[in-house]
Amino acid sequence: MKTKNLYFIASVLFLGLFLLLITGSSTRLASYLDSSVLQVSTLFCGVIFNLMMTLVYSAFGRRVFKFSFSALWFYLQVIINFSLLTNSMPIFFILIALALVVHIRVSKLDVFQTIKHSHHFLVFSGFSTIALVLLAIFAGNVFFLNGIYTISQLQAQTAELNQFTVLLGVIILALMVGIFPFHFWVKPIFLAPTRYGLAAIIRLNIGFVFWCKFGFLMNAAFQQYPKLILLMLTSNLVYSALILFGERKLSGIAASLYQWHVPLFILNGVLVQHGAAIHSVMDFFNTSICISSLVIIIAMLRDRIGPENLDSATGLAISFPIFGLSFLFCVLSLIGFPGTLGFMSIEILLHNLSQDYWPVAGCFVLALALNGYSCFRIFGDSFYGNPLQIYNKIFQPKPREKIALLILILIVLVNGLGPDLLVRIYNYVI
Amino acid sequence: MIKLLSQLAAQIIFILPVISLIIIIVDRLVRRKVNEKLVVSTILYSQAMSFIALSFIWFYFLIDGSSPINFFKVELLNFGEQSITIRFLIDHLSLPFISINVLLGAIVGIFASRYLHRDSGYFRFFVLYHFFLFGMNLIVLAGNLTGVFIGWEIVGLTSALLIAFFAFRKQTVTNSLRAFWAYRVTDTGLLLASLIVLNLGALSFSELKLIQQPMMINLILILCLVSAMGKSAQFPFGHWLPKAMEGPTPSSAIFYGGLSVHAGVYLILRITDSIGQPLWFSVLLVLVGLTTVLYGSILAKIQSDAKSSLAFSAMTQVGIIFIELGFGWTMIVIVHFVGHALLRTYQLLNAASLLHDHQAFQHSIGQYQPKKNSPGNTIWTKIYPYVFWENYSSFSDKWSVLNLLEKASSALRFFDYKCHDILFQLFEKTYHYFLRFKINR
Repeated sequence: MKTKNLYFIASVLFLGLFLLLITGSSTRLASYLDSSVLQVSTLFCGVIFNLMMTLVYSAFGRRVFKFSFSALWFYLQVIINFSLLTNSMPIFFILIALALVVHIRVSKLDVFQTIKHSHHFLVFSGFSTIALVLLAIFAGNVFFLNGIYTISQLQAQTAELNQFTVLLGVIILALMVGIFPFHFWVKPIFLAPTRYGLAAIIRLNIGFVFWCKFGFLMNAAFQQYPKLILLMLTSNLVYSALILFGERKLSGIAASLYQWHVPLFILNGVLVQHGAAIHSVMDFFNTSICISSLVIIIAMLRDRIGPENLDSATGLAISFPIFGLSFLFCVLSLIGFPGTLGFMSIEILLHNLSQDYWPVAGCFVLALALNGYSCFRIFGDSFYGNPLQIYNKIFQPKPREKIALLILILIVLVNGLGPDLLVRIYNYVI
Repeated sequence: MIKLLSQLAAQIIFILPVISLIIIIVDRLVRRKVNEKLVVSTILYSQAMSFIALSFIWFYFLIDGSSPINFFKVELLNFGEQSITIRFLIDHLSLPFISINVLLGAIVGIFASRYLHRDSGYFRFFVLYHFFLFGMNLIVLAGNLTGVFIGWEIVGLTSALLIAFFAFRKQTVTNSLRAFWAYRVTDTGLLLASLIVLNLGALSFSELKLIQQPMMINLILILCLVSAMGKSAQFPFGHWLPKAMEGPTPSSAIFYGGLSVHAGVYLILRITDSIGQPLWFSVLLVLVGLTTVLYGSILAKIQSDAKSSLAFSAMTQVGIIFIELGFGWTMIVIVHFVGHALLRTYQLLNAASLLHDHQAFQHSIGQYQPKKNSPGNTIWTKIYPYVFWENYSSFSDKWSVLNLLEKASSALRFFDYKCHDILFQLFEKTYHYFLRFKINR
């Protein structure tokens, strides 16, 4: 059996494992795990991550990945899955540190691109080092000062933690997920030297895993410093909307939209006491699925027209209609267009914000309007216009790529037209 | 029994564009090529069914028109104490609008099936066309602002995508972006208004009457007005309308002549019907309308092409409708909307063959002078289009302004003479194109 098939099967097995856990179909499997691990956000994160990995394997296969690359890629997947299923803080920190180190190794594999984008690589490496050092300090602080060794224990005793620990936790969270002003790594990672930028999916998921496990630290910080946290998140909203407004390149859109969505799912989590998790999970689901899809679509386009042509391309929708359609759906979902996955989460967040925090809601609405225009402009510039001569029939998407894209479109549409489905799954899980 | 049938009829009207959309998309995916016959049949059958359903609804309103028809309720989300529900209804306000939606939808659909025959974007056009009709149905039939907002966004997106229909031209994309920018900025008004309404606990338009805070009422009115100005191309948001004519003629007709441009009028009618109309709001409406009338009518005089001239004329007419809204003449607004939508759709559909028709007319009365020199060499050929288009647009303006001045007493005559005439011409034109399509096949 070919190696890529093995990875694909392993990926499907991981996905199946999380699906069994989230639907509660296998009590025996759940009994092997610590009950505190079986939280909704963690299980959703596992499902989304493994689903995206399965789609990446099925769509790209050996055509993109060399053996060494795909092996490291697979190790990263295993590490992230294990870090999701562990409750022990030392093991979790070691796994995350390992994931960061392996990810740097993956980024270095493409020598030509590494030299070309060396400044991006330097930024990324610098960020990873900072994150590792802070992780070590945070872990030491929690272990030695508070005597806490498991994540559930930490969650139960958040109120008793000293302020320094909480603030440090928030800074690490901001670094790992990419919140303003700790966002400097976000854009470089989307243009990372790694082959076809797909490593961005892995890097995002390291952040998402961290957020799933330690998101409660943000809630604790919000209780203590509400104005500071709101200021940080609102600045992120406005800043990322302005960045996206100035963005003219296709390759930069995923980074800017991701940066805009990070404060949204955090705001969803920290603002609403009742049913907070579902708001956050909905937006988290939207962000992970759509940003990863955008990365995959852009990777597929780069694969065909080359990175040097990507940002000057026009008429892509005429040459590759399925890419145009899937790109449009993902972007519409990210700007909360009705009937897509993102509409309900953005509508509910706005509804909740407008009850108590009118200035933040106002900024959010303006950012929403700006982002809609910016996304449509980039779509118009790249996907409309005269197609270049280099596009040829041999570049048309392969059936497996079409299937992957159609699955993504279906996820965006089905959950958009029937958002109650996601809520029902959520209610079933809890 | 009649009410039950009317509810069923309303559901059919609401859902038919979606069914048609699904049919043509599935057919395209299965056959891997565009089946024009199926597209035409889908439009014919769906619109025929819509007409039958509509006649039931008219029948219900003729017999017992006192209560609205509540026909559908969608619970988008429900958890804990929060739920987002959209109710759909047909009442005295939405009935004329949905009737025009169905009528113009059918006419433009059939016209476009011939007009875009063998065009590379045939399938794309009809996907967007059905999507647009669904959006318009949502706007007109939704029972709360959240539903209206969803329809509003759908109409905005389809409008922008259809302006950029000829995707290989740079200018179309630029113009599409211009329209999308205006929509996107002004749509925030409706979004905020729907949030305020949700926060105040009013889940439907009828519950808006229960809002006691004057501050909130004023805010809702202002926000809705901003959105209406954007969608109806009122000054200062009207700059996109002439640029939007870059799209194919049928889409220009149905969007900027018939339906989309009047969505703002419907929103104002709906919101003032539920919430009341304070004096300051009336003054504001009149001012907005008056400014747009001046702006539109002056610029209409200096346009050198038919569609731009018609765009400014449409802007002017909608400005007049805003003035009528300000005076609170609901019945005149509805009559004016019906007349203007029909006339403008007819003119825009006719714009493509205007020169041909004019020459045929001159031939018939023996005044046609064939050109001896090449075009552009004589003074007449230089000034001919200018004079001709100007007369064309100013005729339509005067025609409607006169009707405005005649007010309510002339409304019946307006319907009897003008609308019948226009309807007849519209059907004749469509039938003519359709027949040619059939013969060619």
